[in-house]
Amino acid sequence: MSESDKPTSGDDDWGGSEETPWQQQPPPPPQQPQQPHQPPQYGQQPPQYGQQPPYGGPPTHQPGTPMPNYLVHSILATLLCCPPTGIVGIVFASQVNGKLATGDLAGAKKASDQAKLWTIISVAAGFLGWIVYLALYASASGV
Amino acid sequence: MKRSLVRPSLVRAVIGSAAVALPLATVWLVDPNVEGHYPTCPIRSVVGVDCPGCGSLRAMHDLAHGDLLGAFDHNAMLMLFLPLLGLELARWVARRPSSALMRWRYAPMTALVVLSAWMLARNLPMFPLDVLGSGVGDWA
Repeated sequence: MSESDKPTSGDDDWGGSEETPWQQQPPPPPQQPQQPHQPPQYGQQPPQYGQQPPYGGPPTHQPGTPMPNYLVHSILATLLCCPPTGIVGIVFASQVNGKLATGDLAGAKKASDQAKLWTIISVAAGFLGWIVYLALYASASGV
Repeated sequence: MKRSLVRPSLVRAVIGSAAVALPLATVWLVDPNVEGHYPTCPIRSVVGVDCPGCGSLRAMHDLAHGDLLGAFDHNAMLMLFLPLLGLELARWVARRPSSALMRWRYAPMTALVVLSAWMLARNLPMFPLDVLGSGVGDWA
């Protein structure tokens, strides 16, 4: 389900340090142009200007380059839907981490895109399975 | 984009709650133990072995009815992963990054090994392992 929210979620799906994700911005008037990657958080905390989040925390990622590995999606696909496609997704998730660790950003991006693709394939396979099943059920029961 | 006019976290809270509540409500109402209510896992019906996810529908049904032991009987690995996945969902709703465990470099590799071993183990017909299969009444 995070697919639908990609533009705003891109930068918190990968590892930053624990205290960073709260993107603090004052509630702007609706007409004010928004930076697409900084959604406003209304009435949560007072704005704090000039506080750059200390990104680039624990693992080995480059700051500012969202590199989701879709591991959660792939595990969900494996356990709830489609193990063949889910396992492929986990393999690519592993490649994302491995290539990030060796500094191969381009390779990591490729693996990340592949992991995303296989997440989409899993969802599509799930829906397709249901459509086929319902079609067979309908034709069998003569609806 | 209209997105900027909406509270992102509220949207996520709604999506997150729906993602938990709708499937649970569905399996609570429609019993997956009854033949024909849901499609059988293609792997199980074609190859005849339990895939890593086999029994997860019945496990979720058990969970929805508060039968934790039955849930573990049907798919123990799903039960082990659920807290982890639930935590990830909660963190996603709260716009926090993944937990340290999921950001661990070898997390995908570990998941791969664990899930593969899980599929192998639950299909072996020896006593300590055969209870891991998705069949009913292996345990309780």
